[in-house]
Amino acid sequence: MSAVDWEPRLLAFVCNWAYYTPSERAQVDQVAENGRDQVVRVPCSGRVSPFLLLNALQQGFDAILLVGCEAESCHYRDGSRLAQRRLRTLCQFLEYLGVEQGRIHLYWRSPLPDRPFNTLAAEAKAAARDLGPATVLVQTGER
Amino acid sequence: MNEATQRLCALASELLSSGRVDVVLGFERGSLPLRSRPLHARTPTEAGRLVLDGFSESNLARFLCNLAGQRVGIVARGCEARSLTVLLQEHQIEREQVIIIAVPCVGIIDRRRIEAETPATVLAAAEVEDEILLRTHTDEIRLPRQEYLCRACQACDAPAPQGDFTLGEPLAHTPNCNLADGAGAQSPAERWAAFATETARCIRCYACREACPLCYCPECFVDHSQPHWAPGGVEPKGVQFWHIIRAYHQAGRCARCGACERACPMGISLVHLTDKLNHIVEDLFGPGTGLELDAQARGVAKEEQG
Amino acid sequence: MSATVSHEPPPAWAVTYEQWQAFVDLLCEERTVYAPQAQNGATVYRALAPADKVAWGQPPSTVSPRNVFLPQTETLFRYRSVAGSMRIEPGEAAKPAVLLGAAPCDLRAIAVLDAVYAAGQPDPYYVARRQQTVIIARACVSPRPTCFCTAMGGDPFGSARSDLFVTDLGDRYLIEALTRAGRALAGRQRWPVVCTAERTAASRLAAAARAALPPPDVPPNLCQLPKTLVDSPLWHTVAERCLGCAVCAYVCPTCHCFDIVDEPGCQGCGKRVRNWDSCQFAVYSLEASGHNPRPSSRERVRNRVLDKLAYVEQKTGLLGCVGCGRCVRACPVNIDLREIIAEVRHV
Repeated sequence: MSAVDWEPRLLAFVCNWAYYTPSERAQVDQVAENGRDQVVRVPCSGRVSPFLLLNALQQGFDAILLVGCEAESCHYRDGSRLAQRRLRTLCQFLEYLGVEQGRIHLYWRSPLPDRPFNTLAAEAKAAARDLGPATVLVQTGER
Repeated sequence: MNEATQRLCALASELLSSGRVDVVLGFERGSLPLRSRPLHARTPTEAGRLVLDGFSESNLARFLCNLAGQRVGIVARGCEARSLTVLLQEHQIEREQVIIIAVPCVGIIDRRRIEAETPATVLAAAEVEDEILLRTHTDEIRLPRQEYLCRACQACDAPAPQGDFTLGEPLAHTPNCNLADGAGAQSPAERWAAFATETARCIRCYACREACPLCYCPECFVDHSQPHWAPGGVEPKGVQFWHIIRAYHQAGRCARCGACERACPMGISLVHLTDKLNHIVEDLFGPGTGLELDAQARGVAKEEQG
Repeated sequence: MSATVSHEPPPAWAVTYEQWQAFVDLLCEERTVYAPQAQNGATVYRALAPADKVAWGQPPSTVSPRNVFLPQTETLFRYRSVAGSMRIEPGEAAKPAVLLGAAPCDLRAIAVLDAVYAAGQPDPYYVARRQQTVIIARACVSPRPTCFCTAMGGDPFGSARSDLFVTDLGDRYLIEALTRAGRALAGRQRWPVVCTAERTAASRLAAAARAALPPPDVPPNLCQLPKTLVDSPLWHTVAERCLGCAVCAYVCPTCHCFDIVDEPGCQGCGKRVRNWDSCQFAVYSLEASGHNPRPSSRERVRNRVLDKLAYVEQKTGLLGCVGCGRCVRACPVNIDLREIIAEVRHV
């Protein structure tokens, strides 16, 4: 793919309890339809371990989006809180190591209708487009 | 043998012969210059071999998890005391199991730096007051001790713990360097290059993990095979995954003792990674993440102030 | 040692340092040259890039040159699922190479690796690299205090198994060609032939080096493994301090254990990789049932030492330890194999 045509590849972890209405689900599914971007639905954002995030970076995704619920509205009580603790720590550490700000987006959704999923996805990809293709942690041969 | 060492040997001997402990964990002279090594003293005779010096590179708290069921007297400098605090908080040891013999620490000498800077073979080394004396085939070299301390020791702010027994005067140390320094000024690409280059030397011996008192998991994540997150071997994928996650697992727990980087045969700098994570955790979730000696670790029965 | 009885000294030349550097530069153009290089205080054998400096300092290196013949990580083959079937692509083929600056202890270690990997059912990967690699070894003019090759039957000036053997006379190098390959390499250079005085100087250096090392004292043949040794409390004492890392195994020139893993990449493809492994890891001997025949540090430390002193000899006739002292230098808790060997004699 030439530099002009390059489109960032997005990996989105989306909690089942965020964006769950039929129309919202359709939006989420649509993001993955282009064949390049991927959506992984998880029962709770607490399922997203640092291993998954690191692995995603190594596989060369240019933008990573994680959507979970606010801590107070987590369906599994502690899952979101734990995810926030783990992943905010990890992301700050990754930034210290050289992962650019704007590669990884963590979004904790309130139960009230707010930002549609495709806006989140578009913003994540726009930020990655500005940064250029991911290089940190990417293993050649994995793309 | 100096006075402090004599007091330690006498105390250890007494604890063993009175049956208060099954083993005293300390250091003895090593078989090489600039090295002192861990000693499990189980008799008064063995206790006579204990030393207190700046060549003791290991963190003794690492051996506690192997001594379950035994009563242990542990010589505790700042390193050991800070690790002990976390081990107690994480219920890896029982307070009643350990007798803490607190000793003030004047820092561990960076032997790798000395060996790198001394072209001739060092045949013998000694600490004399504030100097390190080295003997080679042809020379006697004197080095200012303060300038040859390990990086972790230079950054240490808690070298003198309290314990069930406290030998020596309390002393304070003002950190004269910041372990995670310098990274703020660099671009992300520079920071990544620094990390990738530094860790590229890794030979996956796991000396860093094994030297650390807080790496006590029965199954380490690198040994987990379904799925196999961190490939073994020396290709960057596995090496980077290993170092990032190992540091990450120390977040808020690391005692900043530096035993990891002293154990590394390839001289890889590691403490700045976990130190940064400690700061991140403190920023995000507040202080009190286990690095202060709390009342629990101070010892219930404070006896002889040596 | 050569099988043919020949008292003729091997052909030899005396070259200046500049001539030698020119020779190394030429080698670099033709082959991959693995030479000791300084990496933040440690000396390791890596492929020489044009700007790299050879670390000619005091032998031996921190990590042995074993990786030249047995890379720590090696892709055996790649696999790819294509139209329902599996396509296999072999890994990188061995290329002509030079091992530059091996120590005499490393040469004796290569004999052990040959006995394991090139005898019986030969390992094709090892054999290919071994056959394509010219070995240029270097005499140990000033052994380290931790060296004890002589105590294990070695010699700081032992040249067997090298193609060219280099002795630093202080102001020039004495080069000896031990094999046809060595003679071919040297023959192209038109170096000045060595004179008697230079040979004498080399002999003097050899005598001095030997005098600086422990006397020959090969441990008693332990192949019978007395029960008192197997059950000795010595192992427990050592094990208490042992961290269970793999530093000793990975710096060792004779260690040869490995692990083979399949690593999936993208969908339907991946590679089979061989990595170094060490019996010092608890998981090394952990069986699928959960049983571990070496459940504690005591069994693992004992296994390592007896492997070096007995098991390798049982299998190959060669002592498993060459006395290079790398493990002594590198052990984070200063477990000293020389002390253990001394204890073993007393048991």
